Order: sequence, then structure tokens, then C-alpha cells
Amino acid sequence: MSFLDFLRTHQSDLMQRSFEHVALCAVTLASSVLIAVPGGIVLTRLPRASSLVMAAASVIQTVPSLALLGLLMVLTGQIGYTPSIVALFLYSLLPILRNTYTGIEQTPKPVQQAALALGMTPWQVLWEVSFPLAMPVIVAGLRTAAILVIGIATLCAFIGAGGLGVFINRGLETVNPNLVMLGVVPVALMALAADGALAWLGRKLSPPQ
Amino acid sequence: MPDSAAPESTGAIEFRGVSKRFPGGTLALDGLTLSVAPGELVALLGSSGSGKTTALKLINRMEEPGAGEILIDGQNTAQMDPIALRRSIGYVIQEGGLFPHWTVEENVGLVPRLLGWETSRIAARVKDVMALAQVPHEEFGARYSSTLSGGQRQRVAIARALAAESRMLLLDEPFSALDPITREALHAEVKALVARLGVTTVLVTHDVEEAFKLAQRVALMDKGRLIQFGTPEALLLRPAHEYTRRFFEGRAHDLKLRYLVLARVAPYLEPADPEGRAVETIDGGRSPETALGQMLESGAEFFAVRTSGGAAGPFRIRDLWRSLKEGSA
Repeated sequence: MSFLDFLRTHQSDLMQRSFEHVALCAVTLASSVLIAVPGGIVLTRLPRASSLVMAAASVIQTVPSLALLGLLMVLTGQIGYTPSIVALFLYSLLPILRNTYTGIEQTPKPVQQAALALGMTPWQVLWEVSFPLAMPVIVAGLRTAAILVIGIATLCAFIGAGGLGVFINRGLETVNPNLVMLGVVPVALMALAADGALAWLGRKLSPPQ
Repeated sequence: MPDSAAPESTGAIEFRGVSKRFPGGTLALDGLTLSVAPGELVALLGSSGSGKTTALKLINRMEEPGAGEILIDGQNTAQMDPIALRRSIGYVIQEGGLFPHWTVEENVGLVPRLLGWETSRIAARVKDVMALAQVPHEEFGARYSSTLSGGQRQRVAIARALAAESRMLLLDEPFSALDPITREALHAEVKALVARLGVTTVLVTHDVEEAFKLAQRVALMDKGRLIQFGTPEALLLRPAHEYTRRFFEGRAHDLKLRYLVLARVAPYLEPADPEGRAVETIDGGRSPETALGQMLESGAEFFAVRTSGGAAGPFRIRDLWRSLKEGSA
């Protein structure tokens, strides 16, 4: 059976797994943005805490994905969605946190100084100057996180969270290349699409200069 | 128009025994006492580490004094709201510090917007002040700072600093990153502009030439202390302190030429013109340097000089030497 024929016969299955995969990634990235962007901003005001938090986030990134999933399964006492989302969230935290932090910190010193000297409040400097100027860097962090999460989410099938990883697992177990491809191709396309969309968003949100 | 003349004499700045120590322990300012009259342009002159920038930042409370007080129009700044204080004082830094993501127009309108002016009033004021700073709104309003030359950026920064009809202007080495030709042009423009608006201006600079050219009075500073405060002429001709003498030393040649710029022709006149063949005339209020220039250009050996009392003269090459000798004595 050719891959295209195989694809046709597994259409509804593919739709369902793709949806699961997207849902997993979207929930993760949304919560990560909600936590890491404000977190990164707060860290710019807490120079001492910032190096500690960054170090912790970096350590999490070095833990192998499967090990982290296993660990969280034990810690949460659950399988499926909860440990998967927690793991993916932890992975995506660092790029967004780090980029938000550096983006805000990178506000040119003369610009920052002029803003304060002309009577902007620190809050106005952050919101009207530093944040818009940091936007491209923040979106770049989100882009890294998105690609990371879309890839690692395939492993979540191991602990029963569904998604496109299910095809890959099953295909590997039954030595069925078509089944493996059914998982790999959409994941790759998804990563490319996310990358392109976020690159566009980055340009869109970049301040004009 | 509110900026054509000060409605009242406001914008007096006074330092009273101000000291400031940085966390590292360095004494940045040591008992600075100095007052700037309304509408006056004072230069804080000194090498790096002299405390001149710290002094400037204390005026709008970008820094807080360790001891002493700073008064604006007789009122202690420590009792003012720092944000409101900063909005009432124009500020220009070395690189301009324009917001790269805002248009020139938005940059210039910043402080009026922070002050909550009506949109139409902001728009009108932005146009006026951009015209004053010679960056016409029609040409520059919609541009971003990345498309401007260094000189244009500083002009925009000056327009921004003056936009809220400030009575005071702080200039932190605003010309030092510019090429010599642009710097010359901006010197003249800024001097004329602040004189016209009657804005009290404090200029921080390490450039003697710049300080002498722009300021009515120069405060020479070293290691946080005020060494001498007076007119450029006084500093040059009557150094009250060894440091002042040394600061200008080794530039004797420059100094003589500089004195030619500062001095006036009138005091060096001879009582009468014996031969009555003056080929050039010059106003008594012009500088010997101007006279020298005219002599070099026309080949004339002396001038008939016009003073307020009518024609007098002549002013000769040898009077030029006399003015130099007395000037650098």
C-alpha cells in the first residue's frame, strides 16, 4: 500500500491525533507565555533572583525528555495529559523566560536614561519603551519553544497523552514504516508551520524603525 | 506665544553645599555651592570624574544628594515630586536617546503627552518647537530616528527637551558625538535658541572651547569640587586657583586666539587717526579676532572703529598684539 493510500484509509484517525497534538502544544505554549513573559519582566527588576531562576530553568532543559516524563508520572501519580503538559511547560519555560529577560534588559541605556530623565515613570518606561523594543526577541523565544514542544510532544504518547506520537510508537513496534510516517510527516509540517507563523508574527509585532 | 519671553523670571537653580558619595565610596561631589540665574547658560567644565554629570543629574533628581540641598526658584527639590520635576525640565544626553520605535513627532510630543495636554495643543506645539530646532515637521515628523543624521537626532532631542515649554534645560555633553562641522552649527543654534527662549541652561562638557563659546559663566570642576566659577574671560585672565592655571596650561597658543574671540576691539583704540586713511571700518563691539580676519582678507593695516560715541580709531595690527599680551598676561 502506498503512503497516500494509507493516509486515505487513516484519515479520521489522523485528524483526531493531530487535534490532540495541537491541543497539547497549544495549551502548553499558552500557559508558558502567560507565566514566562510576566516572569521574565519581573526578573529584570530582581537582579539577584534572576540568575538563580535562569540557572534552574537551564537545568530543567538538560534533563532528557523521556526521563522527565517518567519522573513527572511518578510525581503527579498520573499518566496522560497532566504530566505531559507539565513536562512540556517546563521545557518551553526557559526560551521564553530567557528571551523576555534579555529583550527587556537590552533596552539601550541612553534610551532608558532619556525616558526616565524626561519624566516617564518606571512603569511607563517598561510598558511603552522596553517591552515594544523587546518584542522581536520575545517572539523569537516563543518560536524556539514552539518547535521544541511540537517535537517533544511526540514522546508524550509513551505515557498515554495521545497525539501524533501514537502513530510513531505503534509504527515502530509493528515495524510499519507507513505508520511511522503518518506521525512524522504531520509533526514536521506542524513545526514548519508554527515556525513560519511565529516568524511572521515577530515581524508584525516588531516596532517600526 | 508662551515661549517668546518668560512670563516671569523663573528657572533659577541653586546648589547649597551639595555632596554626593557613590556606593563604592568615591566622593562624586564635595560641597558644591553654585547658583544659576534665570535665563543664564552655565557650563560645568571638567575632565571625567570631576562630578559635573553628577551635579547635572542632581538637578532633576536622577540622583539624590547625600548632603546639602538643591533649590529651584527658591524651593527645595527634595520636597518636589521627582516625576513632575523631571517633566518640567528639558534634558538632552550625548546620543540623544530618541525612542527608535517612535516617529520623530511622537518623540517630540512625549512630555506634553505625559503632562496630559490636549492632542491639538500637542500637535501645534510639536510643529512650533521642531521649527525652532530646525527640523521642520513636514520633513521630519513622520521619520524614525534610524533615518536621521547625528546632528538631526540632536536637534530632535533638543526639540523634545523644549516641547513642554520648560524653563530649564539640562544638556549632558550633547555635542560630543558630532562631527566638527555639525557641532559648530549646533553650538550657534543652541546658543541662539536658549537665549531667545530665555531658558536657564546647564551644559556639561569637557570641551573648553565649547564651554567658552556657549556659556555666560563657566564652572570649572575637579574631583567633585568647584574650582572656579566665573565668566570665560575671568577664568582665562584671572585664574584664582592653581588648577585653573594648569587646566589651561599647554594650550597657551589656543588661549591667546581664544582671547581674541572673547575680547572687544574698543578698549585698544588709539586716541586719533593720524593719517586719516582707514580703509576698513569695524564696530567697537566686535572681537579682535574678527578684526584680524578682516585684516587678513582685505590687506588693510588698520581700521576706523565705530563705537557708540561715534567714529574713533584706529585699531592697528599692533593693537592686536597689545590685546593678546594683556589678554594672556
